Amino acid sequence: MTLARMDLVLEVREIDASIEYYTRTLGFELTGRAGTEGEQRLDRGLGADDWAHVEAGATSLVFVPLEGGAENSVPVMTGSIYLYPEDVDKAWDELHEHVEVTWPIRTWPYGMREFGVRDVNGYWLVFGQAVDDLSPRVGTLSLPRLVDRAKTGDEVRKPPGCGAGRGRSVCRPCRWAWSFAFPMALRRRKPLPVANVSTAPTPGTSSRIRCVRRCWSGTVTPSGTCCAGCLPSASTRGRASICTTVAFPGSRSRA
Amino acid sequence: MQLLDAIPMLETDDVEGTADFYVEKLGFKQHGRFPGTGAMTWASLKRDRAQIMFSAREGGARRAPMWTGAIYCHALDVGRLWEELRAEVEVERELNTNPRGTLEFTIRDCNGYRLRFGESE
Repeated sequence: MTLARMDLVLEVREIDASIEYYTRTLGFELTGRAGTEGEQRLDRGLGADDWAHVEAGATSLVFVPLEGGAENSVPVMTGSIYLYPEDVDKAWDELHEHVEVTWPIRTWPYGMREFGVRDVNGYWLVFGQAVDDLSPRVGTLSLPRLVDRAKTGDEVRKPPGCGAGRGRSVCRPCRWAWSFAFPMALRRRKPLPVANVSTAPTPGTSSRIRCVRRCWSGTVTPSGTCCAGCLPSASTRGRASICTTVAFPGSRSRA
Repeated sequence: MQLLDAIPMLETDDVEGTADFYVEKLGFKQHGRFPGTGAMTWASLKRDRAQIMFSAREGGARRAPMWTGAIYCHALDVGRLWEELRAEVEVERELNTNPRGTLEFTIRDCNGYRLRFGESE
């Protein structure tokens, strides 16, 4: 038995408002509407027979009135509708100023680049695209695309508020991208393993405490405790989160 | 902006159980999963041109699975599909002809999400 096609039926508050939103804002195409003849809308009470079809690629969305009526029920969906644009960055550029964004575009560790939108009825939409290329990005552009743009002379856009290149602090995506492009110029500090004070080596054992961030050179104390720079403080909530301990069997403790 | 596809991503308490339900009862195939090994938190299920994704429900605040909507699958022979599925699943509406003359039936999946099957035009 072949399932030749799939539609998503969404109960909505107002069919016309939903058509308007999906066609005008999101670029869907209206492919069917109950109570129309040609382009002409016939004015008659359709009630539960009212419906509309809008199409996106292989799937249509079908709008029908809320089962309990718009006064008594609200559209709910524990989940979202996942939409696959051809180019998610382009979709973001086109849409984000005209829609209610639930989360801005970003690349997730599972290899999808996505942004979230709440539609006119409160349904959650996710626009996503699989990315094989998880390389760092400046704004919405991956480095290879950035380089391409630079080559073609197009303006390179930075995230709003980013002062990169003007002697001001560099924003996080830029820093990431820059460190990728110019590793020597912008040495990126790796996230440090969190070391609890209780995991510090016991006095007398052959261990070395490598203190980082505040005392870059690395300090070893004879008692096996953290150096002053790495002592837990109120700001680290009692954890020596800036101190990592590395055990070297057989090595000597030195003062 | 060109949209290539639209696929529902539904929340469930039991991704494994839901995947099993779709595979064993509804004849879907597992099309994707995350993570690659161990307990699934996301699964993608596909039968021909119908595709559904399930993700693990984040604990606590969110409500139980619910949707004022449905997945509508157009089958090439809905009568045979009805015979295939009727004994396996919770039926909400038996095989009937709707006012537009389309043969269709409605079932609920193991989470309570509604699936409608209609004769393909």
